[in-house]
Amino acid sequence: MEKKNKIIIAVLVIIIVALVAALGFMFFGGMNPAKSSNANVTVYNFDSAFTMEVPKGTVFKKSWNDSGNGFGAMKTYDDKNKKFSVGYMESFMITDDFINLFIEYGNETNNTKVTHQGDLVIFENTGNGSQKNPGGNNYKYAVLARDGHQLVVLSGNNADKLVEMAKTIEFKG
Amino acid sequence: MDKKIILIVVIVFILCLGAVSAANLDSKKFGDDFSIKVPKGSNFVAQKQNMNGTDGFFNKNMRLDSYMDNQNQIMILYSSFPMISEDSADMFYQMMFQNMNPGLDSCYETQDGDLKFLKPIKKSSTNMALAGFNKGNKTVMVIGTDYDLVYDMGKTIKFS
Repeated sequence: MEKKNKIIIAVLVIIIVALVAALGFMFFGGMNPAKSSNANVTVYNFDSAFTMEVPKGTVFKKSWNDSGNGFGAMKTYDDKNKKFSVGYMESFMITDDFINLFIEYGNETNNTKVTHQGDLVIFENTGNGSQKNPGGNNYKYAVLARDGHQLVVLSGNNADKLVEMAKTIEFKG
Repeated sequence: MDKKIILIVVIVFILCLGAVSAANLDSKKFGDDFSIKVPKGSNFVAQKQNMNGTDGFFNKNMRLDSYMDNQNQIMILYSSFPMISEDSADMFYQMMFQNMNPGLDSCYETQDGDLKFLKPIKKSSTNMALAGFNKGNKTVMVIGTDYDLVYDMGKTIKFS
């Protein structure tokens, strides 16, 4: 065998060993991957208010407004890659009437089409995009999940993905 | 063939860079509580508080130990509070982060297994990043102005 080929094989072995070691650390080291059957997602803890499966490695830009916005404190978690956004609010004002207000407004302005999947309410922005969805942004879809006075609003442009994520929400409050 | 060798050498070099970075940290045990990799030559000064009291609230074995390294501007907090568990630790991190950075109303946040990492949107000499790791009622937080160092240290936390 040529000396050059031996060097290449040796270098490849080093790379593979390094990669296997890195993967071994990731899977068996101190990281304890998400307790989910899907290896591509992490069960993300949203400030102890709720958990939801999100794509592994997601980095959020989190914003908080503890001073209140008229409805109560709200946190938003915007995916750094701008694929989706998560809003969370807990307030005594979050009731059936509060959700119905959004639905009625959408119907009246003919800007929103509303569908349901189980307890989830799905808004599709049918307007020209200038109208913000219930998540306060310009994504095409918003999925609302509610538990008592807690509300999670998932926004994005892929309704199926949003619903898939929303179905994994577990409220902690 | 030459290009392939160059490519392989570059990949090995990049892998070695990571190894060099990790090599600047040494594993250190903090009592019988936990271990973590810290910068070589660092000197952590301990301040321990046992919050055992006689009244109804502070009558359990509660501890808050802090370790400060002024050279690297790193603080490690170890807490053992009955009221902080895996269900509430993330709220604890957020409260700590807001208290450490009172002027901020946003940050970047990511989660890697049981490790949560929060860092200011913009780098600043006064704003601090936080890495939090929790198991049961035990929590370790690394806080500092070197965001990459905070994250690298956070990934190495292990409870005894």
